[in-house]
Amino acid sequence: MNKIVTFALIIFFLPVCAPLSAAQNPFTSKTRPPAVSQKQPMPNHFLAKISFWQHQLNQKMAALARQAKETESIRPFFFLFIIAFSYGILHAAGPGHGKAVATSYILSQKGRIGDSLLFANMIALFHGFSGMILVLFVYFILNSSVSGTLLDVSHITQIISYSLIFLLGTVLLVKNIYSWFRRGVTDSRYSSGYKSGKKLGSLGTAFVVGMVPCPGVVLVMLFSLSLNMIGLGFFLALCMTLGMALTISAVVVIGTVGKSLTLGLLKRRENLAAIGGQMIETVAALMIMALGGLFLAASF
Amino acid sequence: MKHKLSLLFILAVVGLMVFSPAAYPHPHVFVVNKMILIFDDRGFSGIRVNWSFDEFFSSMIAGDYDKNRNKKLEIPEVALIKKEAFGYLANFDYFTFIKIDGKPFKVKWVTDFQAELSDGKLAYEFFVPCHVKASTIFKEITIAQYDPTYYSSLLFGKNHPVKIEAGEKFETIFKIAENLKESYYYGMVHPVEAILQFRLKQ
Repeated sequence: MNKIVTFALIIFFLPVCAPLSAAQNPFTSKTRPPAVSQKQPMPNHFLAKISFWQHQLNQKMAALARQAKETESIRPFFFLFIIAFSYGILHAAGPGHGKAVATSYILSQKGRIGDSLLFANMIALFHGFSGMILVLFVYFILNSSVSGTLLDVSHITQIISYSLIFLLGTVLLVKNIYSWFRRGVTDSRYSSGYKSGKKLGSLGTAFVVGMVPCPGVVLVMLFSLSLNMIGLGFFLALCMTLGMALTISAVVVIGTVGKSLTLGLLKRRENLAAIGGQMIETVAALMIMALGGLFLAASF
Repeated sequence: MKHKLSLLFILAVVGLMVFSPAAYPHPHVFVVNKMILIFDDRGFSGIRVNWSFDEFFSSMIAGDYDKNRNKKLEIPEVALIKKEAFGYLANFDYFTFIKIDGKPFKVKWVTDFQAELSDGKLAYEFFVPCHVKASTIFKEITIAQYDPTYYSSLLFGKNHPVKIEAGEKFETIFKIAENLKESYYYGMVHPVEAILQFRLKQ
């Protein structure tokens, strides 16, 4: 149990503790390396381990895909499903993939676990599908250099996405600050759950967060296209997306449950619970704004 | 239990605010790294590096640079790869971080670049010149290869990833070890180093 909690918290903290870094492929872009910290580090093997496992799964996936092509058998597809799904879980367990923004957004809202799950899954779907669409567009319509176009498209979508995240955080923050002055109204909202307008807002936010194409999905699609197996590409990309959805969901659920538990402890002191809830939401809104701003600044 | 979990949650939220919070998803490229540590008559002369890329990244580079789609890379295609998918690594010291007796040696250029496509797998090979004259006292060279942005993950191969060539005239000791005193990608990954000690044979 302790190990599960520790693992969950590492995934929760990972996007938190990782500052901005270049998102572009250093092989094909003119990016500069980030400044190296001179601080004495704490021994940390988590990221190296998940990278190693990802590499193992990556190799296995490629071998099984070739086997599926050569044997024209359906059997490798079962293993491919498991491997691509696991690859997706690990891929999203590393830094990025919208976990920090997603968690902050969920904390800034008054949704239930079901709403959080829906939100997390939508982010993963948009993140994966944008990768698939990008490859198809570049490969079949533009018919141009994939690495170059991937850089350009990623850069443009990043600027749009981060600008919108910054704007969203600003709006939420302003709304929260306004709510501090109208506390009576906000207290009653706790029991009401999401309204349809809020669900639409969540869907829009999920789109904004997930619209940057997942490079992992892009590479899987390109590999499948190189084997002339576009169907396999969709299959692997979908399995990966489902795996990523599981990780993002886990992180978002930890945030939702943590918030509920914290507020539950203050149940007997309703006024304190309301202030606590409002505080978490305000801090989370500020967080979304800061994340959007930091990402946007790093995009130029 | 509830109290503990709540406390952890509050710590997480505080952490969310205190630490710099954003990171891009990494790694995407996996590279199996092999090195040959080469000696000449005077001492250490440099490192011949071989990087084998994962098949996903290989397919992207092949799709863009194997212009005639013959699943091989010819000289003009290699030249284009060198220019567009390798040359920019100069900004990153070619992912090669060397220390000679503890002092950093900056890798400004490399020579003899080659790219090969075999069974759909891409490999780069190049030479990193680094001349260190041998003496009767042991000299130590540490070589770490990593991508500071962690877009790519460089891992040592399983079987003999580091070899010594033409080192018969010298007494050599080498090992591969993780350096827990240093880290990159904002303290989340430690470099794995090849540590070479050599001197003239007594």
